[in-house]
Amino acid sequence: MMPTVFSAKKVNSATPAASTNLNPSRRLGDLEKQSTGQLKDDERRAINGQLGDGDVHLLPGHTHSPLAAYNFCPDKVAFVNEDPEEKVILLLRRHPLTNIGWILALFPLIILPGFATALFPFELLPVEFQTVLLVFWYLFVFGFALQRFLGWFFNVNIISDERVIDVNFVNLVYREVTDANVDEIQEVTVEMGGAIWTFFNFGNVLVQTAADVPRIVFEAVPQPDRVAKILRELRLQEEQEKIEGRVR
Amino acid sequence: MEILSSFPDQTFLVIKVILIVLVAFYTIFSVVLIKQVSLMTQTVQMALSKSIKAVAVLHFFVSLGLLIFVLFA
Repeated sequence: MMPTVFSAKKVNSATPAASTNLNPSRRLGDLEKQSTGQLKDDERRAINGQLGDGDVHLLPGHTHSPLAAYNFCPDKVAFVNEDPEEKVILLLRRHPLTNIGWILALFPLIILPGFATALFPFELLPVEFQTVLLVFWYLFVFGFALQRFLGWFFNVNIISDERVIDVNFVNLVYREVTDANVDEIQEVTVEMGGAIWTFFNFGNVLVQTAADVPRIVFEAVPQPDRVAKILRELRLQEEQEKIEGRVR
Repeated sequence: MEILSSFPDQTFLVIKVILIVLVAFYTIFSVVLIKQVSLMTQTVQMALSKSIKAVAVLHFFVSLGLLIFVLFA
């Protein structure tokens, strides 16, 4: 216990990015604290840009999985109109459980050709036509699945150190990118309702802004309480920067 | 008698035309899908972007292959 406490104090006291190597022995403690929804000092320093790129790999919420719905300080994420100095703090997309409906719908579609012969005499058609119908059906099912996956994968919410961005692809060729500066955020509301949402810890985060778009909604994102805390931390940081005259 | 004997051929021709139209529309959809993926990857660049582009292009080529097959079937 002693070395853990000691190393925690040591990391907290350090400020420059170069001297902030995290002690791996603290990781278990970090994960335990994660369930409380409190931000730790290391996370605060990552938000404030005081942690090196290597150090963020040990923080809870940081992952290398490209399919993660919650990724703290993601490695390879960039977005349209990103400023050169801007840093992505959080990448969010809807919780994977929100895909369960269309994934379940795939199973009857996949097995349907097996039962279709009972409904329609396909054996009367030439073999070429039967082949085309079968391939076309599975191509159609694949297209449906790909379309739904793309809708989930690219409809993201990004929190950078300067802005909150909501990327929406409404249909095939229509996109909507909404952003608001962090200092324009007026209110953050977390909505969690229902047993499944509570059990799997996901919900809506409503960001009320003073920008032209009055409200940005992060739909069904994991760990909404932590998202709200990160937004609060960013607002505090922005206010501090204003006081110190360091606004970009 | 003549009508009855020619009926199956006409039916197959109608089915073939329907299949060609269906697959042609689907091929157009797959082109739009490539455009959509391109737009998406331009908007947000992530680790899987290249793989998703490759899948969309592969999807288009399979659709095109099916269209060619049904045209000559």
